[in-house]
Order: sequence, then structure tokens, then C-alpha cells
Amino acid sequence: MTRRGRLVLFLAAAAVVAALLAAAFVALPHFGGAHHPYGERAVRAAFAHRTANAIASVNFDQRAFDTLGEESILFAAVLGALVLLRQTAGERRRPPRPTRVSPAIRRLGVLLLPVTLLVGLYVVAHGQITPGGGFQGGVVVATALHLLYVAADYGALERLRPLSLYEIGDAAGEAAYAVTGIATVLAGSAFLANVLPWGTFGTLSSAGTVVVLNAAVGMEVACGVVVLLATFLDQALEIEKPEPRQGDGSARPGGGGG
Amino acid sequence: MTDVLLALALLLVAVTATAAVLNREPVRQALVLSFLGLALALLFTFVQAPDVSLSQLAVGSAVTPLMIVLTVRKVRRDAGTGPGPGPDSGPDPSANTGPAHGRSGGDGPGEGGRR
Amino acid sequence: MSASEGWLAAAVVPLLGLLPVLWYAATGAPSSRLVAQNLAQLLGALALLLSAQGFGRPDYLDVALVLAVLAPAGTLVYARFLGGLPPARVVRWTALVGVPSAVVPLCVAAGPGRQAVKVLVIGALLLAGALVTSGGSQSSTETEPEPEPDAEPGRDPRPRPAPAPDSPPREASPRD
Repeated sequence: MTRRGRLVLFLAAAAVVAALLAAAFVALPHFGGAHHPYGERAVRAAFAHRTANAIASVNFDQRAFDTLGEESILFAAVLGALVLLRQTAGERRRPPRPTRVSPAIRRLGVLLLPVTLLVGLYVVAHGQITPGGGFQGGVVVATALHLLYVAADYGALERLRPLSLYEIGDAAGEAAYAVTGIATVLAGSAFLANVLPWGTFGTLSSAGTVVVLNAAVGMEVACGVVVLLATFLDQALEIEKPEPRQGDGSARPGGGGG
Repeated sequence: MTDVLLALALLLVAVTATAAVLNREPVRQALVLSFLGLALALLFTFVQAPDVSLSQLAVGSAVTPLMIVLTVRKVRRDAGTGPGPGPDSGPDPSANTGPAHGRSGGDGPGEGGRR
Repeated sequence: MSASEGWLAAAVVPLLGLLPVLWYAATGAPSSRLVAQNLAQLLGALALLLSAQGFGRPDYLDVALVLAVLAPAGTLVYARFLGGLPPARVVRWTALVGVPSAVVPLCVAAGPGRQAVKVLVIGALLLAGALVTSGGSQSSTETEPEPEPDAEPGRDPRPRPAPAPDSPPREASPRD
């Protein structure tokens, strides 16, 4: 198809989409209106299960099955990245050379690492009360570990990151979610129904199974992101192509090894 | 006053997204993308959706930039289009951007897991 | 104007500051882009702090807290790749002026308690992050000096040296 033909096709399709979108937007309720049919019911259901954060209730209680799907997508994506970015035959592994980092940045990293870890765990643990939850907190925890890379060097990260443990954690988090669902069935209720005691509204021990599922997702996301970034770091800093032509790697100033 | 905040945040998102499209060099684009993430986080907070805002900040402020930057480094190193800083990007800029799409399959998980 | 409207009006100030910063992030030289990214995170965190008070939702402080801890990590990622962190007086002064002038009134408004402590922690994190990352470091180069992205010809139609004249005075010397 010629460039012109593609452009005409795109413009025609875009016009149709624009018209449909405009028609849909005209029929939407007005922005900031007082009538929220879904929101009101969701908030009522959340409060009935003593969950202060209605979003957490929707994610991990009312529509917990959807979240199982989302969690599995992340799990599968991490697996896919692991397979695609593995060290293939012929690729060499070269340990990255240590990096010099200015003392001020190193001190900032030392200060931020525990604080970031704590903030991440706080966000996971308070998912049922305040904004946040397993996904957000899990990513923050994973980021905390990688402060070791950006504020020190890759060697420091590798020493303090037993990767197989994180691979197990990734799978365990995914499994814990499904196992919780099966347990609710064994308890005589529906899959992923909120069968635990609901506790006191607005405290850490409220919302029943939301806490358990939140923790499972937090673990899966934190470990999954660590494993994912590990494959990226390996590829970018350690693994090298088998030299396709002579003098490719050695000709560079400073050496590409990192 | 909320309307002023909303209008400003929407303006920021629209302008930043356009700038992200117009920038063609991957690392530069990543920097603008970080900015876009921040603008989106502000917008989400102003429309009272702090959960979404937190997801955006968590993924967008360090993890996505790290993945993009590592991918670009790997692609540049493997492309081997030239030994020095200059020629690396000189002869064929599309050599840098082309393979980046093929290798960046890992961008998916960040997006897929976001809710 | 009610108190909450006042806080929201205060949140507009850092938000307006983001517009010139965006210009630098999109068109500046690589080092000034890095400075712009750093400054944007700082201004965004201040806007989030003030708007949390304006909306009367102390929960929203968590968003500012997460941004405050993650912002230095993001800046350091880029610094690692671009081969160093340029010193940035504009970030240092924005932090030294902006953070106390937002945090102190917020603490007074919150009164003694958990919320004030949280605001103080966020303020301290923002100050520490901005002061260290604006100090500059050229030593964190990991590999060969990465090809300056701007060395690429013909990828960006905009003329590069243009941004300087029409920039506000505050942004005039991002490289120190």
C-alpha cells in the first residue's frame, strides 16, 4: 500500500473513531455531577465489609477475580521477559567493573534505601485504609533495592539480591492469591469471597481477605519487578554478543563492560 | 479553584504528551515520558483518584526510566555502528530506534500490571 | 476565599512553574533536560503537598511521600546513563525556598500530630534529595561517555540553541 493510500485509510478511520467518540462523550453524565450509580453502590459495599479505601474493596473484594487476572498478566509478562532475555549460546558474560560514585550520592542512597523500603511496606500494609496497596507498594519496594545500583554500583546490588529467592517469591505471591481463593471455596463460600472476620473499620486489621490478597499482590509485584529488572540489568551490563566482527568490542574507549 | 488546577493539569498532560511524540531520540523521549508521568499523577490526584496516581508515580518515576535506559544502552552496545560517541549516532539514527522496539518487550509488564 | 481554596491557589504556583520546566525538558541540551526532570519532580511534590491540604484529605499526602522517595532514584537513573549529574543552582534554590515555605504553613495548619510529622518527613526527604542531586557529580560515569543524544542530526526539527532568550530569569542558568 502506498504512503498516500495509508494516509487516506487512516484519515477515514480516524474520522469514524472521532465521530463515535464525540457521540459517546455527548451521552456521558456531566463531569463532576452528583449522580454516580456505580460509585455509590461500590462505596456502600466497601463500607459493609468495613473497608475504608473503597478502591481496595473493589480491587480485592468485589472484583477480586479480575485482580487475579491482572496479577497473572504481570506474572506471565515477567516469565516472558525471563525467557526472551536469557543468556543464549555464544553470549559471553563479563562482570561489570566497579563504578565510582560521589560520596554525597552514596550517602543519599544509604539514607533513602531504608526509607523507601519502609514507605513501600507502609503503602502495602495500609492498602485497605489509605490510597495505595499491593501493586503500588510492591513497585516502591522493588525500586528501593535498585537504589543500590543507581547510588552505588551493580556489584553492590548483585551481592545483596539473591535472585532465586525473588523468583520463588514471585511464584509464591501468585500462588498465595489463588490458594486464598481455593480456601474461600473450601470454607463454603464463593471463589475469593470475603470470608475472614471484617474487623474494625479504619484499622490495620480491617477488611478481611483484602489484607491477605493485598500482601500476596505486594509480594508478587515486588519480587516480579526485581526479577524483571535483573534480566534487563544482566543484558545491559553483563551479557555480550559473540563478536560478529573483529575489533568490535575492544575498539571502544573505556570498554563497554560497564 | 479546583477547576483552575484541573485545567492546568490537563494542559500539562496534553502539551507533554505532544512533546513526547515529537521527540524522536529514545533517552530524550524517556525524560519527557517521566514528565508526562508526573503530569498524569497530578491530574489523577486532582480528580480525586490518588490510587491511580500512586500507581503512575511508582511505575513511572524510576522503574520505567530504568528499563528504557537499560534497553537503549544494550541496543547501542550491540548495534556496534561505530566505536566513538559521534559516529554511533551519526550515520543512521534509525538504527538506534529500530531495534529498541523489538527488544523492549519488557515494557509490557509495567503497563499490564498497572491499575 | 476559604482556607481550602487558599491552599489550592497555593498549589497553582508550583504547577505554573512546571510549564517553563517542561519547555526545558522537551527542548534543552541533555544536561539541562536532566535538571528540568529533577526540578519537575520537586515542583510536582510541592503541588501534591499543598493540594492534599486544599482538598482536606490528609491521605493524599501518601502520594507526595511516594514521589519524594522515588524522585531521587529517577534522577540518578538518568544521571547514570547520561554520565553525571550537572550542578543545578535553580534546583537548590527552588528547594531551599519552596520546601520550607510550603512545609511550615502546612505544619502550622495541621497542628501537632501524625499529619504534621508526615509533612515534615516529606519536606526533609525533598530537601535532602534536591540538595544532593543538585550538587553535581561527574564521577558516576559507568561506561564510555554515552553519545550525547543531541549529537544526532536531523531527528529533531527544532533549532536547539533557541530556548535561551525567551526563558524566564529563574531558569536562565540551569547549568550553574
